Amino acid sequence: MTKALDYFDPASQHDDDLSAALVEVLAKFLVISFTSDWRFSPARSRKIVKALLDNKKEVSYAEIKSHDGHDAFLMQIPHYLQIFQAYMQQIEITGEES
Amino acid sequence: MTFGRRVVYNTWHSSLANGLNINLTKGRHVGLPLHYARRGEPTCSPYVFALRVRPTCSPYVFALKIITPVGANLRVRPQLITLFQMPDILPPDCVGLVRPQTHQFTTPLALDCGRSLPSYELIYETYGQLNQNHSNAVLICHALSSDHHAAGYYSMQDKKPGWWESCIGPGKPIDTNRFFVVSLNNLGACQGSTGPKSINPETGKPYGPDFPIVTVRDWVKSQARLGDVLGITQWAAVIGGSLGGMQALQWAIDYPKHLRHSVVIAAAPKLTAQNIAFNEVARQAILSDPDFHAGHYYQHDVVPRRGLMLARMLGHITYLSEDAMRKSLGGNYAKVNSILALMSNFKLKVIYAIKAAHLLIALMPILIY
Repeated sequence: MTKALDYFDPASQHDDDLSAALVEVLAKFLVISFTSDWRFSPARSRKIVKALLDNKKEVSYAEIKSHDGHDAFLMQIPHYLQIFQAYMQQIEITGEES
Repeated sequence: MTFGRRVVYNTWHSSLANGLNINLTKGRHVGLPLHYARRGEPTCSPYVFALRVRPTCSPYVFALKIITPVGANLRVRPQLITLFQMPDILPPDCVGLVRPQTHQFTTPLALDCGRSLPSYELIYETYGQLNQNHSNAVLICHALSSDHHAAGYYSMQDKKPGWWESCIGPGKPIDTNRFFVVSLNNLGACQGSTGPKSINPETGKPYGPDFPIVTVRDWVKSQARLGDVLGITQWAAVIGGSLGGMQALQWAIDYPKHLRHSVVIAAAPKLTAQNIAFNEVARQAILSDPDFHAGHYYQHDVVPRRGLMLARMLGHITYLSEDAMRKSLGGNYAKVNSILALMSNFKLKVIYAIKAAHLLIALMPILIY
């Protein structure tokens, strides 16, 4: 399992250029990071955001203040949940009764 | 045993489980503070080896199983502390009782490593209803040691809900009133989907170390096949935290037309050298355990416990922030060993480990009195 993590590097097939790896992306993105996460720090998430912006992809980014480290994404942090919820609510579902 | 009275419970004769029934008052968080004292030393350093609370027929009568050192006297003082307990009524923002399903895939799956799995099973759960044109499906990708049980409870006796209960449910960020949520256990993750524990059809024995290395791309491919089975051609969103976030990113790269949104939480485009080094230390801890048996430990009917414990401790340290760790220790650095060791012994998954640390901290003043 940890090997799957180690090998994860979508940019490797594009001369280590993450932006090039994301050229074909069509999805809109929400990227969230947590200030006290030193395992996957906000700087790492910002790399994803930058690569998406390089390709003019639509991306929302939130950096949440938190003291909970990497596990913050499982926690009930109001600011985080509000942003997450707001993003999810604007996802359009075709055929949804309004 | 009466509520509120001190009771001396002698466990001299046994070093293992002793059950006793205790009537508790009604409430969402009920539990017992435990005080241990060695025989003849009523106030000396107390410690808990293991504690399990299991509901019996009545929701407020618990069988309390306590594992004590040989020769310890256990005194139970039933005051309120917090233990995890199933609420007596499910909260309205919970998906309720859920049940996992399994699908057997018989088309071989070609893997990144060059090998292929001739057949495999994926276990998954779903929450909410798939709408008529199948446009409201959301895929949840799990992190390293997690599983398919992301929300809800399996039974009213469950002490804990799924691992992402905070975000999945009616009215929650991943709103099951709107979305049909699919959460699966990844290949190789050993929580019900095909993995090293499964029988290799070619040898009739567990795969063990022969199980092929699976990558994030392989997982995404297997998840896409699960989508096909469920009739989902395009996900409204693919969502994940940590390693799950990496899968959500990989989805957008590999299957751009098959998802409309990708939610990437606490992830990274690749691991740092430091991350990889941590993983290597964790792996070495397991590999160097004599019970590892070159990976064939299932055949020897053992588990490399010490290695796994060390790996889990290391992982936990990297998941916590400096602040959280400092808070857990409460300024007493000597406690770190016992806290981490207890967490390992409890075999708690990392996502519950922080809760456990808080529980133990809550216990400390009582234990030390």
